[in-house]
Amino acid sequence: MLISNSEKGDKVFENLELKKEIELTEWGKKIENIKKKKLKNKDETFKIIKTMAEGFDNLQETFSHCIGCHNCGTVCPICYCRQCYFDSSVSKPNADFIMMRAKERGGLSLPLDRLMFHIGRMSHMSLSCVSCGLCTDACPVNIPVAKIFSYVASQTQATFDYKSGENAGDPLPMKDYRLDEIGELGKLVKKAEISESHNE
Amino acid sequence: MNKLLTINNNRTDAVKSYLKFLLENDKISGVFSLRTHKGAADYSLLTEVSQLDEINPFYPVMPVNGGQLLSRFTKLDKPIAVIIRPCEFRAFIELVKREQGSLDNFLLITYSCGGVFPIKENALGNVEKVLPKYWDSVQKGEIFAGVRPTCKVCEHIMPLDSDIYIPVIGKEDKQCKMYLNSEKAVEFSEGFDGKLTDETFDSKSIEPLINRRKSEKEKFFAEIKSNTKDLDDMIEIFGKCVGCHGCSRVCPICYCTLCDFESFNYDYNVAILEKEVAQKGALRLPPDTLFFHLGRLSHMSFSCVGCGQCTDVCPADIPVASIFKKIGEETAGMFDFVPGRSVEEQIPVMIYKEEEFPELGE
Ligand code: SF4
Ligand code: SF4
Repeated sequence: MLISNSEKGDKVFENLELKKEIELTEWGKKIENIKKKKLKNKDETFKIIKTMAEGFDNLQETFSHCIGCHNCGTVCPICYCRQCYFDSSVSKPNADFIMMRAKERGGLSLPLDRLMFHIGRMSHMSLSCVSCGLCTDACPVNIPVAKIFSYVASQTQATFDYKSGENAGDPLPMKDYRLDEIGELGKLVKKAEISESHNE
Repeated sequence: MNKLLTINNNRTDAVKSYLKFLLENDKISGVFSLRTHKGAADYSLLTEVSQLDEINPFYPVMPVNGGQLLSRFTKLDKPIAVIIRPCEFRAFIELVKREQGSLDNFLLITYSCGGVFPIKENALGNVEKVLPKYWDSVQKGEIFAGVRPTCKVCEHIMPLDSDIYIPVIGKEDKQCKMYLNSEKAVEFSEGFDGKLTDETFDSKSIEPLINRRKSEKEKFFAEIKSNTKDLDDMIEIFGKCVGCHGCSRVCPICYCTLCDFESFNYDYNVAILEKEVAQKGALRLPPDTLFFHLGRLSHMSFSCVGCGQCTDVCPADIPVASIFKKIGEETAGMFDFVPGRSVEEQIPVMIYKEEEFPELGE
């Protein structure tokens, strides 16, 4: 079955002299059914993943086997940076700095900042995460990276009422500045502005 | 030198007491060791005596090649005591030769190693279950079936030129013998409460195992089809490669911050891609997956210590380490070079000899 979704597609069909079939109701029903099943599955999975991804201690436990190979970031279609900040020379501090950090707490896990890498990646790409699953495939220690990122993405994307990969015309929330977004923050800003104008 | 320090305790506790002594007496600025917590293993840098309890230096898992981590340390005022496996030590020696680290920074302790398990096995919780059997086989001087393929055929289980060497293979875990091989080691141990005698390690005891591993290696290599002169073999092996470069990121020898194959040099513009497609009729994307491995082999195979990290992280299940170890031994062998044997021994690609390979000159 071929479905044309655009003018370009229509044209191809015309050129190929394919007869256009209009009746898609049956097919549509099947798709809806599959979708329903998958959504149910997703809800159930997210309930488990929520406990693995929310809260610092849980996150630390979830990534406790992470060796910091960054495979998950390398295969991620959204992580397009040629050199990740966490692979750059900034992330390779000198010995004095490493010693200082070790002394702060009496002990330091190496390689440095393995959990920070994931938090950084979440903040950079979760709004665009399409849950393709490559990161899980590439993880050598069986961490369900994709499920965790997909869950976090569902939260960040919902915050901005944004769906990744849906419409090329939608502006990315990160690139779109709106004074009124995230109500509480906006109110705080307004309050600060008012008190400032009073002071003047 | 060549002193023997005997501590009447099991290995782990003996090493802990020794490190505690060094830390408390301000001889070192910290301890670098493997540690385990709820089944997960990581490397740690400890500066507090109270945290020494967590270390588990002999745990048979290598989350990261320790040599790679040691190369991250720029000049230190006071050394760190380090306990790592032979292949991590050897990787570090190669990195020092490549000007990526300094021996002055550390008091290096190694031990004869029975091999490590693939990291996935530990993440799945399978290592803890077989630990007693593993230690039993190490004590008997056998090759344990579950360890990394390259560990099974590793003959470099005994790098005696570390500062301190602890024999583990073939030994009961009741007493810990520490062979002090350097002046540094003797000096650091002064004042420690243990029996000090004049003795050199007698390597005869582990010769049978080394020989067995060597003959296993011959068999193992014979099974790997990796005729480097025949591109078809390489295409067959690396045909599944997804080009993630995970293998090089965990390689202790691949120290470049940005690999050439991830740089602008390999960003093909449309014109180049179109030309390639026109030439070949089709183009595999990402391009250059095989070229990457050939490039990597030419840069690091001399120094490959066969630690096995690359195989562990390959998402396409390619036995990268086995192939790199085989080719590495072939390239290094041409120059009678053994990676990590001695810091004095220069890497063949870094020295020029007019008379070498006279056939080529002609
Ligand atoms: S692929 Fe797995 S082990 Fe590697 S950085 Fe990502 S989560 Fe960690
Ligand atoms: S880790 Fe495996 S798939 Fe990735 S580049 Fe290396 S050989 Fe290819």
